[in-house]
Amino acid sequence: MKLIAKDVCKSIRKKTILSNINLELESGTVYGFVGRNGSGKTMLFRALSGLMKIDSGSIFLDDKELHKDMPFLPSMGIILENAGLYPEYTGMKNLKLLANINKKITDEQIADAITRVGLDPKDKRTFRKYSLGMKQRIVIAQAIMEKPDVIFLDEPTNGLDEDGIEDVRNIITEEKERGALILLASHNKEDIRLLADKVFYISNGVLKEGIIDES
Amino acid sequence: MKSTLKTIIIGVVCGILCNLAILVYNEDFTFSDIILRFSQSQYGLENTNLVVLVQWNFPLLLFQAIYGTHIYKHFCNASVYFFSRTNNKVKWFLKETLLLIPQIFVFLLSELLAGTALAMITNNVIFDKTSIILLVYYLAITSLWLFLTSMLVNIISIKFTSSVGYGVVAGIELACMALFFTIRNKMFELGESRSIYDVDLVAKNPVLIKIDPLAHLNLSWHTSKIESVNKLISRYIGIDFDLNFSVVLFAAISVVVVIIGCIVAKNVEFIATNRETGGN
Amino acid sequence: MLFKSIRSQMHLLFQQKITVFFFFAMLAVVVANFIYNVVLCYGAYSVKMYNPMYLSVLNYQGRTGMEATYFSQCFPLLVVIPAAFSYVKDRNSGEEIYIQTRFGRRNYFYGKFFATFITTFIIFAIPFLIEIALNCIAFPLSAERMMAMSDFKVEEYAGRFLFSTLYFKNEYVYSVFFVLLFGVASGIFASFSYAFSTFRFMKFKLLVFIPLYFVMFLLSVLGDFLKLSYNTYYGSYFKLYDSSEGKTLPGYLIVLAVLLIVTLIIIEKRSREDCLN
Repeated sequence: MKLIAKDVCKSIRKKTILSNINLELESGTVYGFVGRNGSGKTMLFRALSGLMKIDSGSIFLDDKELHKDMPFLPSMGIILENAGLYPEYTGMKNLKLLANINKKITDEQIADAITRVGLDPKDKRTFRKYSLGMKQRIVIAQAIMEKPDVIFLDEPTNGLDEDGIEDVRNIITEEKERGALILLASHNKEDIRLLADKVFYISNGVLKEGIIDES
Repeated sequence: MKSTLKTIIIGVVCGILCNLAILVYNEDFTFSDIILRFSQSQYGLENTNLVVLVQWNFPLLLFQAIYGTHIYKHFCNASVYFFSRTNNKVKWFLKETLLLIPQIFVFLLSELLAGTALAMITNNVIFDKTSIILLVYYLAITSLWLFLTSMLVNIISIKFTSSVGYGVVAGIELACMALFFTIRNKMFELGESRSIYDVDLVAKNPVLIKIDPLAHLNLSWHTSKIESVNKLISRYIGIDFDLNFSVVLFAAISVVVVIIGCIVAKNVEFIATNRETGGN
Repeated sequence: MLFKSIRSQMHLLFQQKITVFFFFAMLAVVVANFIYNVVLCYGAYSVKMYNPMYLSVLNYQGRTGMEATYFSQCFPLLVVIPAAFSYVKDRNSGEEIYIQTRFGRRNYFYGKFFATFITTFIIFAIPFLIEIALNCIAFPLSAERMMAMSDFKVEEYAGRFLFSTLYFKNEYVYSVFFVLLFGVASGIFASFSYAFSTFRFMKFKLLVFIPLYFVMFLLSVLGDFLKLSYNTYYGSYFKLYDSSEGKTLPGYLIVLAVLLIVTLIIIEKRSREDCLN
């Protein structure tokens, strides 16, 4: 499976967000994206996932074009900043509600995903009562539970302790071995160094291949 | 400044919409007439019309919706960061409460002046001396009502959420409008008559009128010790329903509401950073 | 995909305590009224008995006339509560993104529109339809007595009912049709409020109550200003057998149609925008 972006451009209120982005991403690979705050990493993820339309260029998943042949990527997991879950439900309940949309997985698989991120599926606490780290873990579980083909991870280790960071790294590695295409944005150089097979550097919406030292 | 401008705009729009029907007339109106119109005084219990009540109360409900989050909004985004810089939450709460009062006056005055300006297009509006006293009573009673209801929305919202806060307060107000029909039916029972033009009937049962908070907003159902004002109002002769009573009643309820608000503000716990969303 | 979206969003709505509570509260009111009527009419001769359709909670002319008045007065607030807050909830919690990535933005917004409509229809129509069915089973259909109208005024009063021609043909079909129309209207009102809640200035949930109520207010103001001979007070249209003058079925349907069109325009616009929340 390949995710290809050709000359992707996007402006919002005359400000260039993405400028001539060209990418060719393959499954079974982790791609690291680094850049300063406000450089366009999250916007790139929104564009590639279909959450945001692009002004020009095209995005293909194999031979199907996004926004033309399909409105969004059909098998995708995503973590984005400011995205949360329903505060009044437990972690398990939240994930069950989301899994119920596509009905691809069973309750056991949901529980397994929650366990993988180091949480207890039987925890009765609601999402509102979770610590920042727990919230981060449960949204990671949400992204991986349906074993998607493409996974977007925007700062996945935010708010996590050392064990949590280790768990997340292991999960990313396992997902890569499963054959998922993983896009990882992180300020943590260690994450990028250990996990990314290829690194891209983004600045003011312009993408270039780079090595970690350049950032 | 921005919020005051917003209040003025909303007041003007409401004043125009509520008073639109006056454009079809070509008469002499006193400013007192216009004030009485804004206090729903064209109608008595015998011909209380829910249409009119809905029309004239909508601006009040709108104000309550907009300013029902005046204090509550501080408990939403960034509440922890905000309150960690506030040493005394009760003092802060009282300060915010006081900031609401000018907005209420601005709103009511904008609404009234816009309605008056509209009336002047096709009618002759005469500014009478009694209207000043009437204006004071109108502003006092209506602003106290707006104050206590807006504060209630804020306080209930702090405890629960904004939808519960407004739903409860607006729901009670809408029910109070419909309550006039129950009161009217009760009057019929007591009077053994299907006509409430027997004004003694209302005078004999003033409690039934006073039970409904919205009755206190209707200036014409009141009486006044000031002769010139009493001539303009006092639809029901012999009834003991002084304007000052409504002012004192609403003021007393407002004080109670503020005290409850202080207790709630003092005791609120910041488990979640954002009460509206529950955490994020 | 759209069907999946509708199904999932309805599932989400019926997971909410307030939605379920509302449905059962409506059902409880209807059942309580039914039981009261059974007790009231127990042992009565059918000649003296009330027509089963007049025993409904919605009936303005019946024993529950005042309750019907309160219900219709508060209706613009009540209709919003079960389902119209769903978008604000998703947006404020951030859940919106995760749902949209599973079936797309367009399907999300249209799915939520249909889910809001259907859920509100169910809550505001099914209990009253159940009541009609129960009344038909428990009370003799031959009972003709009417609650508040003396017989000679029936023609005069009934002529003022909404689509009164149907009433004169068959009261039972009329009642069912009224309740179904009431359910459809409720669905449209809730969907309209949901559509308005997608505007960015609707930061707080309480603001979702305002758009519908503003429309009702505007209709009554314009009715007054334009000196329309039609009744523009919303409460008159939501009570069964309401005999207030000036009601207009075409006017009612036009208002519903306009609200529906505005709703769809807003949703279509939203579905084409970028998800930048």
